[in-house]
This record gives sequence, C-alpha cells and structure tokens, in this order.
Amino acid sequence: MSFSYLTISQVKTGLKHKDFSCVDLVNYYLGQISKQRDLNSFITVMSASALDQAKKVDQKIASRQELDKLEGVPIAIKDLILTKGVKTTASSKILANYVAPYDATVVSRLKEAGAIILGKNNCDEFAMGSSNETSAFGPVLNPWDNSRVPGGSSGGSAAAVAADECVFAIGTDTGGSIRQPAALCGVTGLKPTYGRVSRYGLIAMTSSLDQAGPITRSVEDSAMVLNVIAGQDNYDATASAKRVENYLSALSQNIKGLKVGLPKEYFAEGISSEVAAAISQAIKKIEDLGARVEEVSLPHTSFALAVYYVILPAEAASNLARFDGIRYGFRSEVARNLSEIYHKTKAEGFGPEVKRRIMIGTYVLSAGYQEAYYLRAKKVQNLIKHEYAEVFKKVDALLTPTSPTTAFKLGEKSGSPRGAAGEAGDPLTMYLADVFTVSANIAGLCGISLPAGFDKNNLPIGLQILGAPFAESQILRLAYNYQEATDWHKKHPV
Amino acid sequence: MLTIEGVNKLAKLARIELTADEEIKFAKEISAILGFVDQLQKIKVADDLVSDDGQENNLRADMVIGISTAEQSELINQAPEVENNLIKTKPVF
Repeated sequence: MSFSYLTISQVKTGLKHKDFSCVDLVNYYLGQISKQRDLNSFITVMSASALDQAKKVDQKIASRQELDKLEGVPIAIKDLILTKGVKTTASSKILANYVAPYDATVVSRLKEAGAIILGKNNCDEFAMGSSNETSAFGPVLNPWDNSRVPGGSSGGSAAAVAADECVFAIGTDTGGSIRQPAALCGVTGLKPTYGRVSRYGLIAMTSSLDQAGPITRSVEDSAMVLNVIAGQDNYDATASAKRVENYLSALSQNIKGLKVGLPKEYFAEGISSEVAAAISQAIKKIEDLGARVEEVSLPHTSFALAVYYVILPAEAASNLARFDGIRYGFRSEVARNLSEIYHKTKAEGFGPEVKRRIMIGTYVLSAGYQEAYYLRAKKVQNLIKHEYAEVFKKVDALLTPTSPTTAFKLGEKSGSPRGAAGEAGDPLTMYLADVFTVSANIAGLCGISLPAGFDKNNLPIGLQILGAPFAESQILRLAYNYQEATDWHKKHPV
Repeated sequence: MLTIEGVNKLAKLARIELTADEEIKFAKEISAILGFVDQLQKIKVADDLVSDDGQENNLRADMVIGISTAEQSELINQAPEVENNLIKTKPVF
C-alpha cells in the first residue's frame, strides 16, 4: 500500500479497511519530514505524541468503535497558532521558547475530530512576509526547486503538503498568506471569509483581517476541513454566528450557467506571460464546463495594496506591543532597568521586517497622522468593499491569477537573509507579490487558490477564485469542477 | 521623507532600541513605504467610516467566569522571573 500523497478520504478508507495501521501511517510522515529536513518546513516535530495518538486510533479501529471525521489523519499546524503544551514561536526569537498554555479553537476542533498533529510549521516571522524568508529559524525551501521560495507567510505549511510531509496543514491568511504559498507550491489553499473560522489562539497580527484556513491536496479536502473548523466560537467575538453549511454537499453540482467575472484590473501589466497563458487556458476550461465568463471592473483594485500596508502595520503595532519581555517570551539579559527591558527585548527579539512594520504602524496611528493615513485607509477600504459587493450582484465568482509570477529565487526580493541588509533588497518589491491576494482580505471575501499549470521551469502556477462573504460553497463548487476536469493537482515535485 | 530624527521618534514610541545603522536603513525604507501608501491621498472618499457589511460582534454575557489557581500559576510561571507568585522585573530606575 503506497502512502504517497494520500487524501483525507484515502486515509480514512485505508484505516477503516485495515489496509494500513495508523502507526505505520504516522511513521511514514515522520520519515518524510526527517528525510526532507533541508526544506526546513517544520520548527517542532511532535513524534512522541503523534505516535501515541496513532496507537490509540489503532486500538479504536481494532475495537470497531466509530471513527471521527478526521480520525487518524496526520496534519501540520503553522507555528503562529497555539498548541497546548507545545512550543509556539511565531517563527520569532521573541517566542523561541514559548510553550502555549492553551489550544487555539481550530486546533481543539481538529483534535476533537481525531486529527493527529505531526508538528508546527515554519512561517514568516509573525506572519509578516511573502516568501518565508523573514523567519528567525531560517527560510523554507520550495520542494519544486530548492533554490526558490515556497511563498509566505505560510510557506512551511504549503511546502509540507507539497512535499508529502502531512495530509494537510492549517495556515493563516491576512493578505494572501495561504493562497500565495499554495500557488507557488502547487497545492490548494483556502482563505475562508473573515469571521467564518475562529481566531482564538491565533497569534494576532492584523485582527480585522487574519483568518485561519486549510492547505490541502484537493478542493474536496479543503471542504472537509472547513466543515470541521468553521463556526461560532464563544472565545472569539468576531466569529460569525451564521450557520455552517455542509461544504461537501454542493461540491459536485455542475457549474452550467454559473457566472464568472474576470476583473480587468487583475489582468493588466505585471503578470508573467506564462502565468497569463495558464490562466487563459483555465478560463477556457471553465467555459467548456458550462460557466458564463464575462469581464468586470473593479476600479479601486490598484489601491488595495496601499490600504493593506496602512491597516496591517497599524493593527500589528498594537498587537505586538504585548511582547515586551514582562509576562512571557524572551527578555533581554542586558537590560538594567524597566525601560531597557522594553527597548532591548524588542531590539534583540524582533527581526527587521517586524520592526519596520511596527514603526510604520506607529507612524500612521500617531497624533497628526492618524486622520491622513489610518482613517483614510479605512474609508478607502469601504470603497473597495462596496465595489466588490456591487460586482457580486452581477457574477457568482471572480477568477484571477493568484500570484503575478511563479516562485522566485531566495534572496531575489529580500536581498539578504531575513531582508536585513536592505541594499540589494527592497521591502516594497516583496509587498507587490501580494497584489492579487490582498483585496480578498481587505474586502472581507473568501478565496481559494488551486493548481492551474506549470511554467517552463516546472514551477507551479495558481488560479484564484474569489467569492462574496460566506459564499465558500460557491467557490468550492467552481474549484472542484475545474479540478475534476484537470490533473495539475496530481503532479508532485520529484 | 522620514528623517533620522523621525525614525528615532517612532522607535521611542514603539519602545524599540535601534542601532545607528538601523536608523539610517529604516529611515530610507520607511520613507519609501510611506511614499507608496501616499497614493491613498488622491482618492475621493466619503466621510462615513461605517461599513455596511452586516457583520457584528458576537458578545457573551458580561460575567466573570474565572480560572483555577492551577491555571493562574501556569500563566504566571511563564514569566522570565517569578517571586512569590508575582512577576518580577527590573526596577524603573
């Protein structure tokens, strides 16, 4: 029985029919992680607890007990998400030895459903990045080409799924951090609508935009995971009370007559010709499947990135103020008084990108500038939200490239390790990698990226489908139909 | 254009100590980023800040739930230095 690239269904069926034991399955993934250590996709591997749990699953199967929704499925969790009793670092020196005292809601729901956590994925520090190069624990390598980035900030999670180190992973997405690495690594990544999934236990970066979501081998797997993690949570006031539908039920319905919009502003300059070609092909395929494709316009699209880079730093500066060396985390050892604890802990504990964003946030919220920057950005955000709402009256979903290019080389945009040198690297160039993904977060939409082809260097190209708030069923259905008619997602790195 | 003095003011507000090299580097980089977001100034916006997307906070009853002394201890002991169940820090001066 080959363990290679199993989906959730295949794992569940295999365990139920005793084609393999859960212990063997977990050992397979631990082996995969060990063999591919160079990818650096994991910060912590939880071998002992994973095997322990696997034994319990095997006992459950032997005694013919009913199995839970994700029983025995080995998964990974981005290290930005709290796992009780296990180090949770946010890929930062400032939390390098921090052991979480509680589980995030997404984690406890996955555990209750029987999933087995193999470990914590490397990511950009405090989710700030688009290439997984800002991590204090070293960059993650793209499994398709180790000289290239996996994307970010959930680079470790996407790489782990692409390299068959787990069945699926949970990442977070604030401006594209699930979708963009999914595109660069040739896997499927879903950003649920803001409020669809609880943020309790996610180390907060941009509280009004952050959202956790699944990175999987298939759209079907995304739907299965969303079924488990979505829904109201008493610990998160921003988690919606809207009923959680069964995201699997409408998947296989055909897409005849479905109205799909192509926002012309997303197809302007800046896209590589190969990405453009792959997306064109995908559009034709979707038309062949019966959908009606039409051009739409979202004139304020070009301002979304600027809005994002005002709102994010403002909220992040507030959220990261708690890392001051007092109650938890790293405390500078050379501080001689209280003020120095604050100043030196942050100086030593935070990386350059984090410091940059905290200071920008401080600026845009400071007296005399708040009106011109932060409040203005919030007003433009409303304009953008309104524009998408109008467009979704005319179409059911939007189709765009996920990323303007395929995976770029390590150091190409960051300049040097962690973007520290600044001479060769330019933070703005890195920010532009998010140009197609940020709007979904700014406008509160849901979005999914799925494999849509490869460039001449055999690097994955991702297709993005955007939906109205809480219209996950719609985008999953379109994505599923496209995926069933293609096999890009079945191709794997050598 | 953010000057070195400007960067230092931000660093002080954010309580982050910067090296001399960092002051120069960040002044340049942050200026560029602020220059980028300045494009928002060109747009005509409504005065209204309220968004009409219908999302609301889901609040629970305003009641103390409390935690156990064991949990309390676990949290306090996460601090780098603890004494008599209190978090210890350096003196103010």
